[in-house]
Amino acid sequence: MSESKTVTLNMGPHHPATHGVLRVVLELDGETIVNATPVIGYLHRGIEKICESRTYQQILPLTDRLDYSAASANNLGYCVAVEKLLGIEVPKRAQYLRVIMAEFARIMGHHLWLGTHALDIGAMTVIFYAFRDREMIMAMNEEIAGYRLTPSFIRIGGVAYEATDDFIAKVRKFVAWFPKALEGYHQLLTDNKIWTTRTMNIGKISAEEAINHGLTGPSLRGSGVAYDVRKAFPYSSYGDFDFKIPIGENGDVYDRYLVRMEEFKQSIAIIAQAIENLPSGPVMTDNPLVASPSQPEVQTDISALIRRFMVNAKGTPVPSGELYSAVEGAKGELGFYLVGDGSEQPYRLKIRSSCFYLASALPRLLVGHMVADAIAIIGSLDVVLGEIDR
Amino acid sequence: MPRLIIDEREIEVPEGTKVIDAAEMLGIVIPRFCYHEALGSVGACRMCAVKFIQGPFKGVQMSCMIEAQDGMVVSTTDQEAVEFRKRVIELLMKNHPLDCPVCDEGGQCLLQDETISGGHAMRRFPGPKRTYRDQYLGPFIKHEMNRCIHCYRCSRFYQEFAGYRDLGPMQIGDRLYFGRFSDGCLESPFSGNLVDICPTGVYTDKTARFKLRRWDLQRAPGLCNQCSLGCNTVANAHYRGVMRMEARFNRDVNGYFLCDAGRFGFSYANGDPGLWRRPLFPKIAGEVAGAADALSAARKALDDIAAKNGPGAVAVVGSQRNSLETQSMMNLVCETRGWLGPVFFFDPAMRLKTLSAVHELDGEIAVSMKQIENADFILVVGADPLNEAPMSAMAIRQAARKKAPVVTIDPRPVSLPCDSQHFAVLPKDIESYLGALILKAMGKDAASLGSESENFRAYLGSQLENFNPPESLDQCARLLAASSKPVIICGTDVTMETTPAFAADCVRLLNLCEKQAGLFNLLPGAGSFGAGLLSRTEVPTFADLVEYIENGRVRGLVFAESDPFHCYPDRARLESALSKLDFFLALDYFPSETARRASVFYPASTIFETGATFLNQEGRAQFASPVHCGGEPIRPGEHPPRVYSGLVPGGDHLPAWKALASIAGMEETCPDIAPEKFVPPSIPGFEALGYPVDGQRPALAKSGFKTQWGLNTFDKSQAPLTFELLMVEWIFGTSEFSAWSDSLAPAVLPPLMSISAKDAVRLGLADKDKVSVELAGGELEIVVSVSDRTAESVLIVPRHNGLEWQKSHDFRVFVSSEKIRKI
Amino acid sequence: MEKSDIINVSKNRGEKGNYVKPILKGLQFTMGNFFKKPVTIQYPDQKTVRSQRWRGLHKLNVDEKGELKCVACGLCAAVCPSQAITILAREDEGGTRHPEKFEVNELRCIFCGFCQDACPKSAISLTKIYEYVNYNREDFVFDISILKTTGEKWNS
Repeated sequence: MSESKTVTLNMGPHHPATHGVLRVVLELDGETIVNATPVIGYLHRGIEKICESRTYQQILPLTDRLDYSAASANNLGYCVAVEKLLGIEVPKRAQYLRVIMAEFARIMGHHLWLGTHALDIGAMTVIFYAFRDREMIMAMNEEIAGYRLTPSFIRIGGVAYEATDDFIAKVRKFVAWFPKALEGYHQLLTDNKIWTTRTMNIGKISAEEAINHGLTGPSLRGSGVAYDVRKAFPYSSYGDFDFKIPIGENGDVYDRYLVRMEEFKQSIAIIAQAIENLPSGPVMTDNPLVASPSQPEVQTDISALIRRFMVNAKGTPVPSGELYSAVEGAKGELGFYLVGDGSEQPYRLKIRSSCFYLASALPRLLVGHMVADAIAIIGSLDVVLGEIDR
Repeated sequence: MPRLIIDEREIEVPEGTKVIDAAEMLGIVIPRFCYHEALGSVGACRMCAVKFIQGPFKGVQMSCMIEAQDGMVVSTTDQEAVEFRKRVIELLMKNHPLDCPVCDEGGQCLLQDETISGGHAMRRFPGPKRTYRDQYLGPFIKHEMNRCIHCYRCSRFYQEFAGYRDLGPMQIGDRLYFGRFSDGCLESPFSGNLVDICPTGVYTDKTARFKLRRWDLQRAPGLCNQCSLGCNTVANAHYRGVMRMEARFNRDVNGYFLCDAGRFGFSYANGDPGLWRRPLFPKIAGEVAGAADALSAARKALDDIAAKNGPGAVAVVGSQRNSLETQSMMNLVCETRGWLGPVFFFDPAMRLKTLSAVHELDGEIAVSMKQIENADFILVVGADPLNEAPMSAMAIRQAARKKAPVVTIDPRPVSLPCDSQHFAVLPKDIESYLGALILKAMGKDAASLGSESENFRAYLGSQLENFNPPESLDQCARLLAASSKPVIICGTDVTMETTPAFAADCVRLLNLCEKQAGLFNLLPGAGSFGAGLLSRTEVPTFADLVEYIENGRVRGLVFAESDPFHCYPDRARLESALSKLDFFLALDYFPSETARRASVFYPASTIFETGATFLNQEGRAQFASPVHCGGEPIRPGEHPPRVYSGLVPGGDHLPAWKALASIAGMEETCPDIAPEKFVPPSIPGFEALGYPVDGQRPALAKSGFKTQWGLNTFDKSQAPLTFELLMVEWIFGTSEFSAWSDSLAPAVLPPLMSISAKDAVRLGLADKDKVSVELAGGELEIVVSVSDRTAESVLIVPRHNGLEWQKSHDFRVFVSSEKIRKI
Repeated sequence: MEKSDIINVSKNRGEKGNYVKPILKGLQFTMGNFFKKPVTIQYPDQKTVRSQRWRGLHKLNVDEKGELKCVACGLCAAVCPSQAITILAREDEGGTRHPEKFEVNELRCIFCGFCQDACPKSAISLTKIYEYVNYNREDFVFDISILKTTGEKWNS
C-alpha cells in the first residue's frame, strides 16, 4: 500500500513571498523539497531588444526599470559602460554625486529586502521601520532628481542636475541619523532566537559552489568570498573612499543577512565621506557630443542650439567596439556588455543580471529544505524580477 | 596613377583625382560645404582644409583644390587642420539664425553635422547677425536666405550645371545674396535639386514644408516612373503617405539629380478618403465592396464571358506605366487563359515606333546618360528632351559644357538649357535631314563600306532623292565628322514610324566609319521598353480593340493600370464602346474616368508600396524597393494605433499583377506565384541574372543591321495648305501623374498651340491670339504661341489635361487652314 | 583585495540566545517609538510637498501673448524613449511654424523628463501633478487644449 509519491506544488508567480513574479515549481516529498524549478519570464519586457532601437540616451530610463528597487545603481552601471566606450571623463563632482546616489540605491534595495524578508519569515515589525527610512531616501531622490523610485538622475557624461542645498542638508541629516535606525533593526532581529532558528544553517552554500553558480554580491560574500566590484575594479571614484567589504563564513541565510546589515553601515560611511568631500565644479562633461547645452545658451547661441538638436534627435555616435563593464549593484555584479557599431544606437546591449544567477542557484539551495524554509531562502537571495526578466 | 598617403594609409588614384575624393575612396570623409562631385571645386567655403606634410604642397591647404600627386603625405586629423576647420565653422556660424527648431532641414543638415563634428561648441562673437529678405521662388522651393553660408553651391548648380540664369549671386562680401532679381517662379525644371544640394536650409521643399523630420521617415531606394529614363530616387514616407522624394545617386542614369516632375509628382500615391484623390477601396458597380468580393465578382464575370463567347472575348489592356511584373503577368494570363492581349499600345504607329526602338537597340550602340555627358556631338532627332525626359536635357547640357555641338532636328521649337543648332522640319523630313547629315559627315564613298549596310544605304538613298539640304547642315556635318563619340537621341512621340530604326542604322553606319557612335531613344513611358519586348505582333492595339468591341467580338475588358480616357483620342467613341461591354474591370491607383466607370474597380498599389522592376529606355533593368505599406493614411494622433482594428494596413491594395493573377485564377494553376518565377522567363537574358535585377542591361538585342523596320514605307504625303496636328508632351500638365498629383498642379501652365511665324502670317494670327480649331469631334479653343523655331505646316498642341484634345478623333490628324479661326 | 578591506561579520555570531530576552528587547524598541510623533500622514487629506523638480503630467507653456511657445520642432517626440508624443506642424499665414497637433499619451509616458530637457523653447514642461484619473484610457491622450491647461482639471 504505502508507496512514496511526490507532490508538485506551484509557488508563484503571484505569491507575495516571491517578491515579484518569480514562479518556483516545487516537488515535495511530504514537506521536504526534492526538486525545485524556477520559472522566469513573467516580467519580460524585451528591454535588451528595445535598446537596439533606441539612442544611448533613450536607453537610460529603461535601465531604471531593471532592478527597480535600486534604480540609480543600474543607471550608474549603464553610464559607466557607455562612457568607457565613448572614452570620456566624468567630472569629479558628478562622480561623487553618482556614488551618493548609487549607495542610496543600495540602501533602498536593502531596505526593501530587510522589510519583506523579515515579513516573510514572520517578523511584522521590521518593515515599518525599514520603509520609514526608505521613504527618507525617496524624498532625497525626489529633491535632487524629481522622481522617487526611478530617478534617472545619472546621465551619460555626468548627472542630470546640480545638487541643491536642501539635498545636501537632507543627506547630512540622514547620515547622522541612520546608524541609530540600523541599531533598531539589529535590536529587532539579530539576536532574536526565532530569527536565528529560522535562518541559521538554512540554504547553506559553500564558497566554491557559490562561485560555480555565478553568485555575486552579498549572497557570494555570505559564503566568505571577498569579491566586490567596487574594490576589485573601482569605478566612479570608489577608490577615494574608505570602506570595508563584509564577508560571512557559513554561507547560510543568516550570514547573508549579517552581510547586508553590515553593508548598510559601510554604504552610509561612503555617503558620509562623499558628501563631506564633495568637490566643486561642473556635474556634466563638456564633451559636445554628449552634453546637452543649457537653456540660456540654446536660446541665444546657434552652435548650442545645434548641439541640443543633434544630441537629442540623433543621439550620440558611439565608436564601434565592444566592452563589458560591471558595477556592484544592490544584488551583486550588474554588468553591461555593450557592442557599438559607430552609430547612435547600440548594436547589442546584454545585461548581466546578478539576480538571474541567484535565481538559478535556487534548485541547489532549496533541495532538502522544508517549504517554509524556501521562503527564507528566496528572501535571503533578494532577487528582483525586473532584472531577471528584463 | 599617383600614389599618396592619407592619414597613414596609402592609396593609388586615377590621374586628376582631387585629394578630397582620394580620401573618400579610403572612407575618410573630409568636411565640405562648397565641394560637390558633380559641381566641381571652387574653394569657397574653406572647410575641407587638411595638412600636407610632404610632397609638392606644404601646410594647410584646401583638399578640394589640389589634385592628388605622387609622394603626397596628407593628414586630415592634424591639429592645425582641425583647428583651422573649427575656426571656419565658427565664422560660418556667425550669421546663422537660431532656426533649427523651425527649419525643415533640421536633422538632415550638413551644417549641423559639420558643426558637431568640427567641435565648434560655443558662440564667441557677440555682434548682431546679418539678415536678408526672402523671395517667393514658386510652388516648389521655399527661400530662407538668412540661413545661407555662401557656399555658392546653388548658383553653381543652377547656372553652370543646369544652365538657367534666373537665380544667382548678387552683391558682394558679407551682403552676398543668392536669389532672383525679383520674386517669381524659378524657370528651371530642375529647381528641386537646390533642396538636395544646399548644405543648409536656404532652399527647402515647399510640398513637404513642416510635414516631417528626417528621423521620422521611412526611406527606401526607389525609382521615378514618370518617364522612360528611370531616374533613381529615395522615396520618403511617413504616416502611410509619401512625403518627399530625393534624388539617389546613380552614375549611369541620373547622377545626383532629379527633375521637378519626378521629384514633386508623387502626391497621387497618397490616399485620402476625404478628398477625391487616390481611390482606396474596391468597388463593385460604383459601390464600395470588400476586397475578396470585388476580386471574386470580377473573376466570375470574366469566366462567364469566356465560357459564353470563348476566351477571345476577354481582352487585357495595359499601358506605358505598367511595371515589368505586371506586363509579364498579363502575358502569362493571356497565354494560359487564351484571353486577347496583352494590349500595351493605344496607337498602332506608337507600337511600331516603340518596337523598332526596342528591338533595334543593341549592346554596342546603346548609351547611358553618363555617356551622353561625355559625348562630343549630340544629334537630337524627333525628340524634345526637356519635355519628354527632362533629365536627358541635363545630360545634353553637360556634354555642351564640354564644347560638344548640339543639333536638334524636330518640328517643335525645341529648347535646351544649352546652345544648339535647331532645324525645324516636319516629321516626315526628319529622316532626310538625318540621312543627309550622316552621309555628308562620313566623308567616304558609301560603296566602300561593308555589304551588311547595303539595304540600309539603298533606303537612305531613296530618302534623299529630291532633297536639297540647307547650307547650315554642311557645317553640322563637318562638326559631326570631327567628332569621335557622337550620340543620336531619337524620340518616338512625333516621329514617323520608320525613324527610330532609321536612327539606329545611322548610328551603325557611323560606327562603320571608325566612330564610337551611340543611340539614346526616348520612349513614351516608364514601362515602354518592357512593353516593346513583350508585345506580340498578333496582338491588336487598343485602336483595333475598339473596333472589336463595336462589332461584339470582345465583351469583357481588364484595364491594368491603364486609362483609355487619357490616352485614346476619341472620347465619344470610347464612351459608347465601353457601354457596349458586358463587363470591364479597372485595376489602378489613379482616380481615373475608367476607374470611375468600371463594373468592378480594384485599387492597385503604387510603386511605393510594392517592389517593381522597370526597364528604362536603354534596356537597363532597375528595381524599386517598397518604402511603406500604404493603405489608409494615418491621421495625426492615430499613431501608434490605439484602437484595435482587424484590417491590416495596405491589405486591400495588391500590386496589379497580383490582383490580375487572382482574377485569372492563376493561383490555382501555379500556387506559389511570385515575380521570381514568372518575370525572368518572360524576357530573354533575364534568367541568368535572377530576380530582382538592378542596374544591368540584360534585354538588349544582338547587334547588326536589321533593315526589316527601315525598309517599310509609310505614306508621308501631306496635302498642301494643311497643317498636321502634332500632339506632344509637356514636362508638367500632360502626363497622368501630373493629372492626379496636386503637388504638381501649381506648376502647370495653360495650354498653348505653337505655330511657326510664317504660318502665323499666312493665317493672320499673332502671338497670344485665341483660336478655334475645328476638329472631327468639335471645336478646340486654344491660345496661340508663335515661334520661329517651329516647323511650318504643323500645329503643335500639348496633350494637356486641361484641354479636350480628345476631340481630334485620331492619332494622326490634318487640319486645313480654313478650319483655324481666330476668336 | 587587502585583508584590511575585509570585515568578517560571522565572527561573533552566537548559536545561543533565548526566546524571552530578545522579545523584550524588541518590545523595548517598539515602546520607544510608540509615543513618538508619527512619520505617516493622512493621505489624501494631507499631502506632502512636491519637489521643484518633480516630473508629473505635461504642460504646454504659453508666452506673454497667450500663444503656445511650441514651434513643433519635434525634438521632444524624437527624444521620447516611449514614443508618447505625436506632433504635426502647420504653417500659419506669416510662414511661421506652429503645432497643428500635439498629443501626449500619458499612459505611454514613463516621466523621464527628457522632453522638457530637450525643448529649445521651454515650451513643454512637467507639472507637479501626480494623481490623475479618468474613466477612459483614451482620455489620457492629451491634446493641445488639455495640455495648455493641464492641472485645472486635477488641481480643483
